[in-house]
Amino acid sequence: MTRAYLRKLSIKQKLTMMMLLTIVAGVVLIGIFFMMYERVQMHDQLAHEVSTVSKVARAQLKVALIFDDIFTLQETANSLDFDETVDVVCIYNSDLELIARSFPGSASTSSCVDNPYQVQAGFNIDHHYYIEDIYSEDAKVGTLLIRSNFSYVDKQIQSFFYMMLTALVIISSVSLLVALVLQKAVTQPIYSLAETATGIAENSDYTVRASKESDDEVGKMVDAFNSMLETIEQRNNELKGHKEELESKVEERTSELRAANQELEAFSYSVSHDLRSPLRAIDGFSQALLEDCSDQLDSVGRGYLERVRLASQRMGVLIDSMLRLSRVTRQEISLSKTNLSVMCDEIVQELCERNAARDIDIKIQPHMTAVCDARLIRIVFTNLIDNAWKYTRDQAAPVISVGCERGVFFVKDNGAGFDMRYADKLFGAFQRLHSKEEFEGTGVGLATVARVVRRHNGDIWAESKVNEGACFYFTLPV
Amino acid sequence: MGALLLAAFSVMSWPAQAESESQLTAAFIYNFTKYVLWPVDTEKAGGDLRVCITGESEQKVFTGLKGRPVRAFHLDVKFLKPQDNLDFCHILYFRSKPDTALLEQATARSILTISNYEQFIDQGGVIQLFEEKRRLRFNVNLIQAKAAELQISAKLLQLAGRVVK
Repeated sequence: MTRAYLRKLSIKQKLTMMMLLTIVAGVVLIGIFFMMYERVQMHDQLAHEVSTVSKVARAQLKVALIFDDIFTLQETANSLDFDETVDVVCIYNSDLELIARSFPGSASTSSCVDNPYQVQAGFNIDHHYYIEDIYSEDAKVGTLLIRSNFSYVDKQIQSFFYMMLTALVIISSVSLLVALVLQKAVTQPIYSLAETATGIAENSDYTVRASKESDDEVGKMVDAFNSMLETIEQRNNELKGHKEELESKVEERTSELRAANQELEAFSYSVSHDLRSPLRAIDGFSQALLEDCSDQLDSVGRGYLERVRLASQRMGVLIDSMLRLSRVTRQEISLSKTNLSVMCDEIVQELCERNAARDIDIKIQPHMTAVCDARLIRIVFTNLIDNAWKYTRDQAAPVISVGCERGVFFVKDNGAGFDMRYADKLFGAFQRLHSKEEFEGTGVGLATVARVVRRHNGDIWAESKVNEGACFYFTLPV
Repeated sequence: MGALLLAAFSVMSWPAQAESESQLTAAFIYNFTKYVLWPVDTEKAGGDLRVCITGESEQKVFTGLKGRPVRAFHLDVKFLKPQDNLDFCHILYFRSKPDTALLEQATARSILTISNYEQFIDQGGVIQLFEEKRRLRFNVNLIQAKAAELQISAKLLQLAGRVVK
């Protein structure tokens, strides 16, 4: 409870409380000490006063006692009433008979005892007895008994107590004021350090420094804090430098790469483009030679020319697909929601028209849709279905299925398949897993497909076993 | 008289049984010697301080004073006969009306004269004892005391009923 309360207090409040408690405890202790001392002193003083007064009266008392002068005895007894402290003055003769008494104080509460030797001389609980035997020429002529109370002492102690209370209030308030001013010297540096630390923690600004206001432990703390900040700032700067260096390096490399890519594409485009016209010339002149000068050629010559034409036509197809590949890379993507089932139906339709002889079971999942570039995705499906069509050529009951499962599109066939060992070569340009004699093709198709899928931020992979068909998967997250 | 005896009983500083007014008188005489100083020579000399008694008295009571110490003195008691000389007396007590010739003789010397007689201090005596409210008191003739070169303590004078100055 107390600890929880102390936890909530600020250092300033704790210091103030500590100082106040110390001051109060000090003043109270000093007050108690002085009150005890004062009490002892005043008791001694009382006893001394009573004895002094009675000594003064003793000579008078002696002569009055030996001449049995009641009047003078009474007068002397009355004269001993020096203030309210004295309760009773009793004078006894040599036979301990009470012969004179005086009640200066509270007569009602006390009276003279029958025998003065019955009482305990000195200090009692609330009163003091002074007893003196009076002698004349070695013979006892009487006894003096003075009973005093402590009302005066108590009054003095009471006033002392009030004085102490007043002093306590004044000293506490003055000290509190002084402490409030002086404690700033202690709390201010801590407070400003705490504020700086909080500010740094909130803003993560490590360039800020705590200001040193003293050379004490707090000052050392500020120094340590500042050197810590310096280290952090230095590290931060180093990290920032490294990051900038890395970024600029990445940018440099990226732009270098981009330039190289553009150069490469421009080169391949222009090469493909420029290769077409000589090729057309070769094909065209070979055809013209066959048509116009066939009578001058024998069957062997004509056969060679046919071969030249076939080769140049195949080269034309190759160049076309290379152009398409480079176009796929350069072309801007325009996205729209596309019905892929309809697209696949159209592609299959075209294939059936071109190869009416083949009887293939083609299953296309209906209502497949995707947000994509329709023209580029048509290239993907055309290539994949085309491949499936091609590689099921030797199958007795060929089956091709196109579908989509949990966002992954697939084109599956039960054709020749391929060896998974070469799966990484599948999507590279001009990479072929089957010879041209086995299955015709340029080796550019799957490279184009992979490039389109990647341009849609998608992924493409394939699963297959030799002679057990192949399945191509791809995603189109865009 | 009973009350006087009672008072005497209480005042007497020696353990003698109070028997009469004489006993009280004897006690007073002894107490007076404590507060009266004789001339320096006498005081220095010390020895006996003689109390002379005249007239009819209870001799036994006064004899009791014999040997009691006062300062450097010891009290001595002498019962005077009519033809006796006063030379060796320091205190002279007249039980009844004093003999004029004897008193005149005493006033010429340093003798403390004491009597119960009413006009004693007006006739040249130093201390006159009297009864008041059943207590024994005394008057003092300071002029005569000075003439007799006797010093009477102010404390004693304070207790006196009347002081002739």
